[in-house]
Amino acid sequence: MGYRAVLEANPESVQDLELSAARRLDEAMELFVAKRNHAAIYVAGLSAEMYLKTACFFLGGAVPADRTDALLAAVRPRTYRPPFNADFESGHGLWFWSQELIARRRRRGLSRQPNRFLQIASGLYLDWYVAMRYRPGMATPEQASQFITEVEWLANNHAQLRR
Amino acid sequence: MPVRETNTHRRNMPGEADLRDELEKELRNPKEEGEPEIIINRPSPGTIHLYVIWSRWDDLDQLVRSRIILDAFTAVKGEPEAIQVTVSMGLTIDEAKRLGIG
Repeated sequence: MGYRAVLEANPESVQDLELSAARRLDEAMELFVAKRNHAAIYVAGLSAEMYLKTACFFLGGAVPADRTDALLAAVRPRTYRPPFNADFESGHGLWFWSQELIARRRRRGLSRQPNRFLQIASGLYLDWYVAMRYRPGMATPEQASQFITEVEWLANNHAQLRR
Repeated sequence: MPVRETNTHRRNMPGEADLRDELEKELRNPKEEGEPEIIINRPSPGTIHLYVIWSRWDDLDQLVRSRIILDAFTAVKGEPEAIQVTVSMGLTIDEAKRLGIG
């Protein structure tokens, strides 16, 4: 059985994303240490995407084992008109997910998101997009370090973001 | 077109209550060794990842395993702690090895 078939044998769940977010961030740090700055940013960005998505899903009332396909279907442009302007980017838009997170907090009547969140979210958005994997890369160690630090902030403040 | 109503209530699997009771017991009075092995990981403030490694999961899908773990944890630790749980995975010994857990 191919590896893809092994992975796809179980539907993707919120807890898969949650665990993968942490693992991708660890791997990004290893890439950074190995001076693979562009790859480090790319992989850390995937982690950021997953941290933002899971925070949104939990704010929407999801439990760890919920399947992500249904949760994602609910926010696709065809079915969902968000109360903000942001590109869905085929589900990878970091700005989209950060704005969605703010919208969900507001909808649930929760307190404002932590002060640094918007600053972090815009930094991440300015540095990362999923198609960057098709670029050979020329990131500096400073850019990679800064980016990973921002994703670490998301990881460390995930609990505050999702409730 | 006929209107059909579906039952949206959760349907408990046979044996689910037994597994939950056993897990609750283990959470309250952990054995020195043997299964189930319960791993409570706190990767960041306010976040809990739960893994239960247990051969008895074999025939149950992940959704049911996860529900049993979360229910048992909630019963023992209470709601405020349970809402911190973002991962509640039930794994057989083989699955845990493959996933690098434990």
